Amino acid sequence: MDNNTNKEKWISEAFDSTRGMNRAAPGDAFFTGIMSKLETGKTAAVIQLPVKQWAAAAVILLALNIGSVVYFANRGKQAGGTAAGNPLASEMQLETSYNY
Amino acid sequence: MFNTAIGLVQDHGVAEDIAQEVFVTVFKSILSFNERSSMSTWIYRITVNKCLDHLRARNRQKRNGLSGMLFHTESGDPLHDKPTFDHPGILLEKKEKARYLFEAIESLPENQKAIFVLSQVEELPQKDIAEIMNLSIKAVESLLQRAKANLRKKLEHIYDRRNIK
Repeated sequence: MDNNTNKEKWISEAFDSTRGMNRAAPGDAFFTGIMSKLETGKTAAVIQLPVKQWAAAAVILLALNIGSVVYFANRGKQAGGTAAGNPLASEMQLETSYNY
Repeated sequence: MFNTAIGLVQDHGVAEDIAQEVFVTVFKSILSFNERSSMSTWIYRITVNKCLDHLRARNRQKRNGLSGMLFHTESGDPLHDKPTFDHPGILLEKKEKARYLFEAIESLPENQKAIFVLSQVEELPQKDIAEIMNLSIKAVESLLQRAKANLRKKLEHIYDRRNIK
């Protein structure tokens, strides 16, 4: 047989090499992997909120932040005002730290 | 679906991962499945799409990433011999020739690759392949012919390069 005939025969055998093949099967850990992927998906689903819920959560957080800033600012003012309004405040303070 | 995936991506681990993802996708979207096509066609379509996505990502990595040093920038072919792929379902006496066939399949454009694998490895009729690939039967016929012609050229090249007796 000449080289071309050999080549043709070889190519045709290469094409036919998949004929009669068995179906490939995955390894033993395949179904464990699926379960783990499904579990991961569940966790992700809990975290993934719709846009509206994210927006609502952001507004609530922002409101809480602003509220706490305003509250503590007012409290600071009130405390400062009390100290400034009482002329004996510094003496009272000294008195409390006085060591008999 | 594992058999299809391994034929397309030619990597046992990746094929397993893709088949698992297909399972999860089917499980999650079973309610949205419309019965315009059969369930098996739908699952095949998901599998092929996931495999093609993986191959595209791999080609992008080859062209742009650090591995660019190891691959031709235009063709994406490895500069050095990559590990050969042995399909686990191939009969022992045909393993060597199948290895060369899969090497040739790897070089095909993605549509031709998918159609050749569905036709020759999965042994699906052209009508089913057309449904899976969302193409006409004529387009499938034409792509299959082109795939075979390209594979023939590649196999000739492999034969000459390896000086096979």
